[in-house]
Amino acid sequence: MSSENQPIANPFAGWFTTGNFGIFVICAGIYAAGSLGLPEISVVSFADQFGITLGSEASSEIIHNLFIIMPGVLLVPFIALFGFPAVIGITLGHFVISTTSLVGSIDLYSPIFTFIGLALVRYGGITGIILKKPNLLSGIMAYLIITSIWMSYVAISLTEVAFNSIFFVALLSKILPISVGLVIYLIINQLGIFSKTSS
Amino acid sequence: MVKDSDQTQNELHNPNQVYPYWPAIIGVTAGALFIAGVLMAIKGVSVMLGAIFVLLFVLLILAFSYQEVNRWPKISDESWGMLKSGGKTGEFHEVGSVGFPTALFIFSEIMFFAGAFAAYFFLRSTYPVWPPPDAPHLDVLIPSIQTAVLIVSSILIEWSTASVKRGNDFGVKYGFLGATILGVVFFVVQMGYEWPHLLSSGELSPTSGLFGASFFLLTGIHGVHVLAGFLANAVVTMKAFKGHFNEKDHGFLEAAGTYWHFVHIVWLFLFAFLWQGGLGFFQ
Repeated sequence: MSSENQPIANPFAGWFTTGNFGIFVICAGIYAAGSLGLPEISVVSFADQFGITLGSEASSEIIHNLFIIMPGVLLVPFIALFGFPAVIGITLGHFVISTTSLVGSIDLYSPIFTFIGLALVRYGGITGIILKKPNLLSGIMAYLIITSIWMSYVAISLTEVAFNSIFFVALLSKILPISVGLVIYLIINQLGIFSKTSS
Repeated sequence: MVKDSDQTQNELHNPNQVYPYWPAIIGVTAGALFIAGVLMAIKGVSVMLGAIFVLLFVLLILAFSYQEVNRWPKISDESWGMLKSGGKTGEFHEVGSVGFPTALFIFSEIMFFAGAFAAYFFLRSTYPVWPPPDAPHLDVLIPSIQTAVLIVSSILIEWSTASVKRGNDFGVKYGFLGATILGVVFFVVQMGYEWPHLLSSGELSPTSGLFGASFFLLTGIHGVHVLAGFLANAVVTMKAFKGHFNEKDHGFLEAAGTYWHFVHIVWLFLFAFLWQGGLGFFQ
């Protein structure tokens, strides 16, 4: 073959596998179904039990709709097991949910911040990127902070609520499902289920 | 010519050869630019932007042709030589680990559903609010069950795919058997329960306005894809029970699995757009 006919190497070789595609779809499905199919629980309704007071804004419909607990968030720790396909899957799942958001079109930007947060989970957080010491908890912390800041920004741009209190509500709405996910992840990791079955 | 033909056959069946895919990507992009440009100009969205898009299309085609045109005589000779020597076609090289034909097929399916959704949103945009006030409130319980069914079936297929690479026959057989059964469950819930329920109760029908027509059209074409996925999964299951798959030879299993995952992902968008009025804030 002459050099002019030399084909270009495929940069996606080995990336689009059935296994990766499956993980991507399953994560997107679980994340989206968790919010589309299950009853909505707003964290605002019990935020005061955690010592967070929102004042008159507690009755705001936007605040209630923005801080709904997303059961799919429990998948976040599993990024350590399933890698980047899970990051993209969860992001797509979040996008699907965002299309149905009662908050408005601003919520369509939320998957971008979710993606950044999840990518940090994948690469072990700030400790993983700067110190080359990947750590799941460091990644989860980065995810929580980034997504909570964004949600707080949406809240303060649409309502009169104060950033300090709403930031903790945002954190709470994520910490609850992530804690459950982390416990399940640790159990599964301890049992070595996926190391036995995955390819 | 005989020598050329032999050379062509050797080139086509060289397992290390990677076939270029950029022409297809550039072609699709250029085509999209051209169509978008013409539509923008005709519909009066922006004549200037439309003209720029069409100009970009022309420049892309010219640049591409300049690169490619000197290869045409050789390609033409190769094709004729191939036909004269028995018409044996070349094997497509894999795109990653999913075969090129599967990737191309999935891409064509994405385009098909993109067209269907685009038509849905275009028609929907003619309504001031969505869903229309006279549209019934659809219960999310049934699609939630269907979503759960699809998630479990995708997990089973994932298990099956992982099993075939490890030589675990049990996982290969029963993973796909489970997914096939769940495919039937999904189809029966959709066509055997929800559709008859909506039609017989008079809540919704294909003739009850745009909402009804969109609902039955989109769930219908998705249902046909589920049926096709079920048939593919059933064939894979039968082949698996006959021991046709092993660590090295399981292309059809992967193709069927990939297709099923695709059917699953489309469903998520249907759920959001039809049952939950997704993107209603742009109305």
